[in-house]
Amino acid sequence: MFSIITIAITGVLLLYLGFLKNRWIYISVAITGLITALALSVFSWNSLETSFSNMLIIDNYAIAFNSVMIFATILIFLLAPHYFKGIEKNVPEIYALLMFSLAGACMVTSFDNLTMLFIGIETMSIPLYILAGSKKFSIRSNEASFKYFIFSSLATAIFLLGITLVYGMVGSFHVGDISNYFTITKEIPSILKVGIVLLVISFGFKIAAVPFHFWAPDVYEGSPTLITAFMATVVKIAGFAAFYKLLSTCFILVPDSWHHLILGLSVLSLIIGNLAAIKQKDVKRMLAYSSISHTGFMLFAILSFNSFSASSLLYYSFAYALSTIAAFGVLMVVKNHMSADGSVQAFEGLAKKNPILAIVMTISMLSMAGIPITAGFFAKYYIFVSAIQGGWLWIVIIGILAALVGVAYYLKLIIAMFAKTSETEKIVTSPLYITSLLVATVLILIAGVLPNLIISLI
Amino acid sequence: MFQNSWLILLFPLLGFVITGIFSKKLTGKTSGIIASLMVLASFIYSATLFFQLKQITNSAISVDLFNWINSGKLSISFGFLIDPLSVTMMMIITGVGFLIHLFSMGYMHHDERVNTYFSQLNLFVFSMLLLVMSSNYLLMFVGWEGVGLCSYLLIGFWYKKNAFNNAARKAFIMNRIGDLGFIIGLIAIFTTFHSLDFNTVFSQSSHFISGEAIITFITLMLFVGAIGKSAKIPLFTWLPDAMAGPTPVSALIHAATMVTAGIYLVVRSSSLFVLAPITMDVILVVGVTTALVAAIIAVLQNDIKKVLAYSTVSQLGIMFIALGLGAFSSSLFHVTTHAFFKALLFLGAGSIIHSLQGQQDIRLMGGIRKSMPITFITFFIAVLAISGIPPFSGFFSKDEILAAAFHSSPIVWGLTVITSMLTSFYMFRLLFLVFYGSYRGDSKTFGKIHESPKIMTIPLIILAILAFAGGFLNIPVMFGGTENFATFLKPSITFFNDYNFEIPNHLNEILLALGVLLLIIVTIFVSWYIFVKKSVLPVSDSTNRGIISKFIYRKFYFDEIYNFFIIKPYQWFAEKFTSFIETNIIDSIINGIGSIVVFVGNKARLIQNGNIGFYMFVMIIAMISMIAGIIWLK
Repeated sequence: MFSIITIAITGVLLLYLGFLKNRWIYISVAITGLITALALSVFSWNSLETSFSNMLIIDNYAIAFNSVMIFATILIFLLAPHYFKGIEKNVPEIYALLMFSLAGACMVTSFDNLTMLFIGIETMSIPLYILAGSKKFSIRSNEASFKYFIFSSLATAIFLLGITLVYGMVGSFHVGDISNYFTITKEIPSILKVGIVLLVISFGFKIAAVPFHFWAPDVYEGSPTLITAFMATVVKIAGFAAFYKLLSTCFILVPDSWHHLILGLSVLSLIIGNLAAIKQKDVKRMLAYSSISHTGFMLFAILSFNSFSASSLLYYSFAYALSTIAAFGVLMVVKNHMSADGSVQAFEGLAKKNPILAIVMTISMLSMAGIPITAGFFAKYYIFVSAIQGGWLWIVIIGILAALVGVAYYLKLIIAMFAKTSETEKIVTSPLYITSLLVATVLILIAGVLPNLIISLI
Repeated sequence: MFQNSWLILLFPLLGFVITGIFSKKLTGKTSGIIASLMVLASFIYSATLFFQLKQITNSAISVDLFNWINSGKLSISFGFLIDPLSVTMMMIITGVGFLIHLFSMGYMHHDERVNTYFSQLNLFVFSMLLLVMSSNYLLMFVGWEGVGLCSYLLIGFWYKKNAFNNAARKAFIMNRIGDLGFIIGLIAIFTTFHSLDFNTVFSQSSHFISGEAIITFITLMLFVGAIGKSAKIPLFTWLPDAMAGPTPVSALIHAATMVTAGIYLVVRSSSLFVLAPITMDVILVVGVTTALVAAIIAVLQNDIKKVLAYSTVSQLGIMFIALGLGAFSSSLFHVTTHAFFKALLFLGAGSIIHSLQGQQDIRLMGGIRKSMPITFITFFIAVLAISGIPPFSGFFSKDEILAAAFHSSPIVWGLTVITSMLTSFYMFRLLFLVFYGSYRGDSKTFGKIHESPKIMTIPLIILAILAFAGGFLNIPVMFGGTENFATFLKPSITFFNDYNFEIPNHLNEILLALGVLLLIIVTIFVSWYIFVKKSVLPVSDSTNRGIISKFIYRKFYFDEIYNFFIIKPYQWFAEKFTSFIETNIIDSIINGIGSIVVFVGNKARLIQNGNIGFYMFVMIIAMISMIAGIIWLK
């Protein structure tokens, strides 16, 4: 709880510090606040805490996901000063909005009441509408903001309708009451089923699962890259953590109703995400589709629901966040510096003059493709194991085939960086920037060698 | 001390990394010194372990470093088993290895890739040590593959010559055939014992009765692995070809250490092998055949290294005879003495070849004992040792095997004696043709013949001392000894229940040994009569030979048979498969899948047209169908 409060206060503080016009003060305050929040979050491990008349419950599950999200945000903030240098005036406001969004994300993972879940999702999403459009004079950015707003509103509406239907049948917003209802009631009324489907659909929007993914490629591409990195990692992880928690606590006893829906979402995401990524020329757009395909993989954890699936989801989230931030980090500088369009061609011959960036990108791509000794390998491994234990062997086979297709476009980028010889110039970045990239890369490798560090947490 | 035994592995690995990474920067001399020192350090550590191990009673120490693989039922630790058997092997590998490293500094100093050479040599020592030190079959297999790789690299060290490359490939492929057997054996062990750890497997083996089918299968498969690595019939033809590598490599890998890996495997698994009488018979038959066939072939060879190579194959055959008889410690004793005198023979040959500017044909040598006295004397000692003349080391080790053979079957004994006679015949033939008579080579080079530098002769001298005195490690009871070597090894080995160490009647034993000795001396005399007294020279390649002579000279046509029955049909199939199945069927399937994926991907990309109305339309349809599905389909 103190962790969330710290994040919110840091956000407010940043708004006031905007008068100082010193970008180093903003970043140091932001990072200090985040590190404090991370520490508070980690130190509350094993101490179950409920707040707001039991609407919020912070258990180990929430702490683990919150810590991953806060850590990812720290890495993103380390990238921020260099990214915004010279292109943005309203930096403290952007920082503050990111903080508010993160605070919302932390609430989303720890809800114990559907009202709180709704509030959390809104707190997380509303700042993002502004952030997506924060490049005020770019048409693409405005388009992204608008599209995101439209689709999020639709999702929210569906979500609210779903809650309403559930409330209508159960008579309570509280997670415990809802799951109790299913232990008592054997015959589930159709209206309640529709409510559950609506909830699943609205989360399908949030995590960009096919066929509710349409906003994602356009929004990811149009938004400022830093914001895209935030959306693709923190927001998505929060969505997954909440989705998993919602289904596993409230609706686990509902027989067979939503399994097929998740199955459909997962298979479609794997197929469409990977196939569409293969012919993309723009790296950012490729990463957007890759993110959709990762949604397909992460849905396996929700599909299988056993003692192992929560930890496999956590591990996947961690591995995915690190790889995504590293990839977007490299992409940002390459795109800005080469005055290029961020297409695959911009990466050609990168390894020659910028070996560090090329290595970071390579490890990130290998991790996304699931090659050992990176974290991405064990992420896929554990999520497959969890699915097999849940009895979903054939969908694992589809997953493996999809991963094979994925290798094709991840390697395309690596080949461009190393094999192609084209004249590039040395890219100058700040020490903070490189630190963030290297921390992410080293952690990808450490988590890939010692997966037990994370997998045994929850 | 035991806990830190991983240091033994670390030294050569470090040497490999240093000389490998800085191969462009270091001078040949520096990298030679680094590589030699690393092996010396490992030797010193192994020797310390040896003395410590002698003092404690429970003489098998498992050192588990960490949990290496953990997956389902499979749990494999990265650990070592330090016991008399492994320490003995470690000392042979590092001790002989160090001397050969020293020799190499002289032999290879003019080569332009000398740093790579030392790097690979160190990697070999590392892999071989891993092979003998590991505490489970899987880790042993890692070392097993490692030595195979190093052998490949070093045989093809002068890779610019096509023939050498082919020799390297041949060695690798033949080894792979054996490796396949090993892997099948590993899988069978795991399914039977649910573990690959030596201690677990061997302690469980007592639950099985002798002759059980699965144990016979496991041991046969392990033996297939041993056949490949130790160059037995039918997979022996790679070893003579492996002489393409630098001569010190032949000494280290193809005489002293790697080829004994198969013997190590059998001795290590002795508690399984004693449960499989059929396998033991197979080993015996293969051993006898190999020993005899290789000895016969060696008689007519004219390349100094080829003679030694066939002699190695033959001696390995004798070691397998001992294994087949259940005389495991005798076999290992012969491994030890053989490592000394065969390394010495190869290094001596290296010294000669070095001095004669690469000449290897013994028909073009002769009369060089005056110009190369040290090489001559040490070579002579090695020849005496391999022929089994007392008190040289070969006598003791071979005598033990002959005694064991005599107790088991007169036929095996007789064939082994014939092999020994042939051995002394061709070894003295080699000695006489190289060092006696008059020089038959190009007269211009005769003046340039010189003794090798000290860095090469000192290893020769040390090895000569060992080849002379190595036999005293295990003086049999009948000569008043205590069989130190066998007693030391006993805890590591499981013998047959009825295997007796004590031979009741020493008089018979001594008479037998004297009889064999007499036969060997007669053979040597015959050899002397033919090659010194009569100065008979081997015929040149152009003259026609008799059928039998030709049959032997062409190595029983093994290569030709393999070529006709395996390689030719294989190539025929390979060609048909590439031209028809590969290009027409497989390629079109693969490319077809690829282009379908790309085509569909292109279409999938176009769905994303940026039109919000269209997006909404698709989503609403999806939502409606989902809700409809959930209501109607239950």
